[in-house]
Amino acid sequence: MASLPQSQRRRLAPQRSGSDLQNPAFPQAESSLTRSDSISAKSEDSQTILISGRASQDAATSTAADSKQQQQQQQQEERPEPRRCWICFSDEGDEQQPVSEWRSPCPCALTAHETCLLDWVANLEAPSARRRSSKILCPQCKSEIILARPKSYIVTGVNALENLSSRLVLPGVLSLAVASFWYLCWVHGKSAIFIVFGPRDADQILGPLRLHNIAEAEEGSSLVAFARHVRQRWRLDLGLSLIPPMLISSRSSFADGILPILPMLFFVTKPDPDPLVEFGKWPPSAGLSFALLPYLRSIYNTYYEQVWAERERRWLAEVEPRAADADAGNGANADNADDVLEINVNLAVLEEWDDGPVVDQNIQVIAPPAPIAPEVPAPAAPAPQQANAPNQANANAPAPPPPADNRNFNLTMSTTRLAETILGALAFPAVSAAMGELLRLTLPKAWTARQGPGTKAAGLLQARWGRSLIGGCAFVVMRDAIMLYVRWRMARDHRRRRVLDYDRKKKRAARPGERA
Amino acid sequence: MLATRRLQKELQKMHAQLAPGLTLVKAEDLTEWVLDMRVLDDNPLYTGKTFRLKFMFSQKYPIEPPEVIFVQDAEHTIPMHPHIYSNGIICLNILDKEAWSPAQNVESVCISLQSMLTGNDKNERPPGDEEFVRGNTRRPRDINFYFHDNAV
Repeated sequence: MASLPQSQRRRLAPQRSGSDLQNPAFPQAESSLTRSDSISAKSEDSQTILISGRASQDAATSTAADSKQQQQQQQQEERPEPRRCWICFSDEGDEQQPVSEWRSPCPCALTAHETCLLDWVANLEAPSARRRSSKILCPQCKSEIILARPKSYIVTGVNALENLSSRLVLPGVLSLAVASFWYLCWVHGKSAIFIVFGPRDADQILGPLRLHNIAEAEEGSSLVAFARHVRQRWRLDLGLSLIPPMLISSRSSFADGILPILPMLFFVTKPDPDPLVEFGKWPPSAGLSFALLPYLRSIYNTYYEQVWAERERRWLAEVEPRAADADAGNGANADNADDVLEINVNLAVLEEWDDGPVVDQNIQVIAPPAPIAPEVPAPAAPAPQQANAPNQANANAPAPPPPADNRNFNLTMSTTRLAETILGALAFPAVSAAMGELLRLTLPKAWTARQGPGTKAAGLLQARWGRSLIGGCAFVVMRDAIMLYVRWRMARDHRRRRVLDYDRKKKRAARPGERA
Repeated sequence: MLATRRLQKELQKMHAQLAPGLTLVKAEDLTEWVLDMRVLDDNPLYTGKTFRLKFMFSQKYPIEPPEVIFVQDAEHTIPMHPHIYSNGIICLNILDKEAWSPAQNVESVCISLQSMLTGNDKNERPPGDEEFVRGNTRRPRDINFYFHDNAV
């Protein structure tokens, strides 16, 4: 055959002359079949090839081939048996019209039509195929099948880029989300600075944000400009973006360990003396005052915890109905506000447990016993199930358990509490500024006004940031004081409650002190 | 065209000779064949039972694998095997796009399944079978099996 190179024919010849009588064309196929019988169908090398139907025919031709062998080796023009394409299984010669060239791309005996091979390769290389390796391997001998194809660096490059970009989708979305969150924090931090410090000081603090030299930035290399931009502002940007997280974390105790360390970092890393940070002077500088806030907070929290927390818990417990104590089963411990909260949480968990089987029952009622059941919501998506559960229960199941609503109520309560905490923390700068303004309006002018325009503030209250600071602290203390008073008063009044008797003569409830 | 030619060839060969334990039940067209299969050794899980297999071929066969499932009817059950779901769907890597090669054929797939049963001694379904069978509306070829266990 003209299409088969000399070398390959030589390689095929010894296999044939070995004259494996059963299947001379595919000795390897035969061996792999027996192997897969004995070992396993799942192992990598169990790809069996069965072309045993032609055994007798092949045997006949191969004996003929043996006798003719010398002739063939001289002539090298004829093949001893027709080739068979391992993809379409057509034998050489029985195609009505010649399909395409024959190819034998690997050391083993597999030969195929070029079109069939290309179809197969196209399927392997299709973008939709999920393949791990990029090599095309012969399914029989696992040697690589090499294609000659016009090479275009642009096509290869674009393909590689497409690959890369599809792999970067998830990281891209995540970093976009992170960046958006970061920027939101930054904006909040910046507005907080404005509110608390007032325009003049804020302008000074936010100075690095201003574009100092527009012409330079316009004309110079944008890369250099960006580097300078980052060098000048990174401290400020970082600080601004950290303001909301700090505000929120200072509302809870989880950041207690790091909050007092942050100001130290602030002082240690401060590169140049700043007019807003000056030690050893009265009034203290703005930077120092704000840096001391975490310590002030710790001291105040400790004081509150030591002196007031226990009383507050007692007062709270007193107004709880006594039935609740009995239900909870720990009446002795029930004078603990935290315990009440914990009980709620536990109930929520228990109800979830109760709910699970109910949902399953409903689904079983709905689903007809078919071999392939209709799609059932996956158990990994609890939210829609919860929403559906009551409806389904009403429609199908007898007596749905009522506590589902109760649990939802508890859940919303806790999310509301969370949202309240976060919103309160974020609004705190504005509240402080409002309190500062209140101070300015209520306190004597001599305390709050500067002696003359342009002079330095002589007291903490003469700067706007100082009033905001004091106002914020005062707000916290006042809020706690009012809350404590309310709790105490509620507990005291709780003890003094009386049920009024009905006065039949006057046809109304008897006043306290009146005797019926 | 390729599928037709190839399936005609395979059918021709299977009519002439078929591996032991296999019987061609129905091959009226070139899209869906039914074969019966017995396990040859005396595995107590499967002795004396005949299982019915349904092959479904797409136009892209043999470039793409056929869809193969066990069929349940009055006389045939789904064999118990940790890789065969109770709706007949088979989790076998050579039936998946990634491990399939056109060198496979109907007979070789049957023999692979035979040896898969022969080598099994666990009288159990795959983990999560009930859930899968209840929730599955996809065809076998659209399921992305994760082949974790090459030893069975």
